[in-house]
Amino acid sequence: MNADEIKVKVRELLQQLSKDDQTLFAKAIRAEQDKLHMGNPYGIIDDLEAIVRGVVK
Amino acid sequence: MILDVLTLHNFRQYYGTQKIYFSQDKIRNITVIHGENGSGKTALLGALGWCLFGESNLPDKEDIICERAAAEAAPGAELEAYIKVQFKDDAKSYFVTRRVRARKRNNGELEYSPATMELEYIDETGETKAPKNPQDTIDQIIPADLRSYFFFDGERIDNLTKKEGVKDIRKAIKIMMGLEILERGEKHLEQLRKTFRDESVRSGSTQAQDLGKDIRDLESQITAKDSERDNLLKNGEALDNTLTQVRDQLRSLEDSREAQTRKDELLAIEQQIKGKITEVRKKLRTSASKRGYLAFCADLIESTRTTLNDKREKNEIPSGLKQQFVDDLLDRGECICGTTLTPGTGAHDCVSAWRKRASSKELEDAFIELTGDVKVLEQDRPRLFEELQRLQGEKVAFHQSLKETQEELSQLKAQLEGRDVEEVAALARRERELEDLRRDTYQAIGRVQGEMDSLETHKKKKEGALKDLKAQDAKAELARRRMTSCENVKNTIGSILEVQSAYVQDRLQEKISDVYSKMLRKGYEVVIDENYMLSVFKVMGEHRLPVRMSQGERQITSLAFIGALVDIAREQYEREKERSVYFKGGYYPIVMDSPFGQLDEDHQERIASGIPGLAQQIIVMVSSSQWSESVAKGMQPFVGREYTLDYKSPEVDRSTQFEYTAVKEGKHA
Repeated sequence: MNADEIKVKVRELLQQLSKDDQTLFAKAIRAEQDKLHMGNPYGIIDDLEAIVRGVVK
Repeated sequence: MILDVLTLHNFRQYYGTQKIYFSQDKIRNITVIHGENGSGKTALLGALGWCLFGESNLPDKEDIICERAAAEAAPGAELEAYIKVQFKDDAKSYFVTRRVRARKRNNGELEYSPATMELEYIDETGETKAPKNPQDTIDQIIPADLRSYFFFDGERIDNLTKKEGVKDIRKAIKIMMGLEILERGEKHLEQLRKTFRDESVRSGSTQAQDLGKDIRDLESQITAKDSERDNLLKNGEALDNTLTQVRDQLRSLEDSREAQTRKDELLAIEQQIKGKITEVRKKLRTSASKRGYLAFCADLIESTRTTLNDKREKNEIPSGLKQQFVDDLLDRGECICGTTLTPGTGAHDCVSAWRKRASSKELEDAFIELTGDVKVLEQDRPRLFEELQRLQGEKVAFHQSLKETQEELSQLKAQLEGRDVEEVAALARRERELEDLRRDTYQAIGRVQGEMDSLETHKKKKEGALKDLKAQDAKAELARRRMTSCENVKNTIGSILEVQSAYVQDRLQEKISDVYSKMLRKGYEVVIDENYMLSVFKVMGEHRLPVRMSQGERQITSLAFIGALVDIAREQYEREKERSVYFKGGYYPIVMDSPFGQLDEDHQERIASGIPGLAQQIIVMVSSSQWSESVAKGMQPFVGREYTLDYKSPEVDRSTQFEYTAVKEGKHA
């Protein structure tokens, strides 16, 4: 697969998620990104838990 | 990240304030820093590492302040040394300063205070900001784990092709290619999924609570098995390393070198044959599971064909008369012979009766389709047997050649064990013991993995049953929805990770092969496996044999790897206008200290012409002996800026009392 095919494939995978789950995906990845520099990302589970509780009500 | 300026103030042998402006030209992308041994090339690399990450690979790390500056200061005076790095990243300009202060005691010693770090950046709007945690910001631009790939000592980078380097490589690739973030996301969402599952169980019925307990028990068992497997894997790895050492020793001894070299070849061939056998077995399994029914449907094909022929012979299917034709006659109210067809008349009844004998379009289509299917089945059946026979033949041939290889290996091992030279015989015996232990260990790993898989299946069943239970109340229902969302997103991340990992591996393989073929003289093949382990092979007939590389060759391989990584990150950055959340890519500079140290002239020339294309920005530090005619020829057209480290020492210059270095623009003798 080339880069464009990968992009399409990833988009397809994301579109299979519900709107709420798509929001959750984007927010979860961003939370991981913020702590990517930390070898042991302290507090990440709490961050993700807050995200899930905020998105899925 | 593109480096703008490096400012050194009283750092190590750099006296006063010295500045280096790095080339940012896209074509003339190289900055060359000339300096003889001891003039401070490695200290420059250390300065970058110290400023950005607070660490340097320099000896006497605590002696940061320049000796001359310290000597010239009066007792009690305050001194400082700092490194300032100015760089751009993603449309922002960064200014990082790491500073250390010291007070000169009466006895001349320096009393250091802890070093401090300051960071400011100007964002896209022109606003200046100072992040609260400067190190975190820097680590997000270049994670410390990746430092050694971008700021490296050319004479020490050969470890990327050694087994010890695998973990570093894997980590670097995962971070740079956006895989690490996906892996972490998948892992953390799984942990969270369990949290919400337990929450839903707590608010659930007794049955739900029982299931929850069973699941947690199974998870404890899986965790125990996982740690057992990890220990076994560590043992396996240790055995592999010891085995490699024993084989290296056998290869280094005059009395066993030849036999060991042949053994190495045979071991590689043995692995390849085993791989081919696994492949054939897989093909056999696929054929049997997808088309195996053909082997058992001969009677069915025959009886269907007979039935269809029988119907055809009786003119029942397809009928000579079409139902649509009879319907058209009745609608028109006139027969083909001209008789009027009025309902209730004998002529109408007679034609209507033909309608029953005519066949429908659906029936005819089904007949044609079935006839076609029977033909396909009849043709496919012998093809299946041919394929199975061919694969079986290949399997037998591979087993035969495996047997021959193993026999030769066994003979060689026996020969070595029986040698008169005790050292050789002892090593050969040790090798056999280690091989036995290794086999047992890997068998145990397989067994534990099987047990884990079985526990996982059991757990999934229980979780399925838990999901099927009706939620007791709104709280349990909400927890369950949250659990499902975590599961959905986790599974999607897992699928993206799979697709992205395969892409990264293919792309890396392509890039490394490309860079490698330009840099290395011999016709070697470089392969990166699914664990991102770099291996180099030479092709001999139908077998690929592992190459024992010289230090220079390992250096080139590592350089090709770094170049490939940097290039993929650049491509991604330039391609993506809308930045992917997890794989942004970016520009990375490569800073190399003495990259030509271990290379012969031909390879120096190849590397020199390959270096300009490795990254957006290249900084090379070389001594005059390394800046040979062939290196200069390959690199000079791409040199945008040049500096010389002017080293003064009382041993060669009596006008100075201390050794120190000044940076001069241009190339000076």
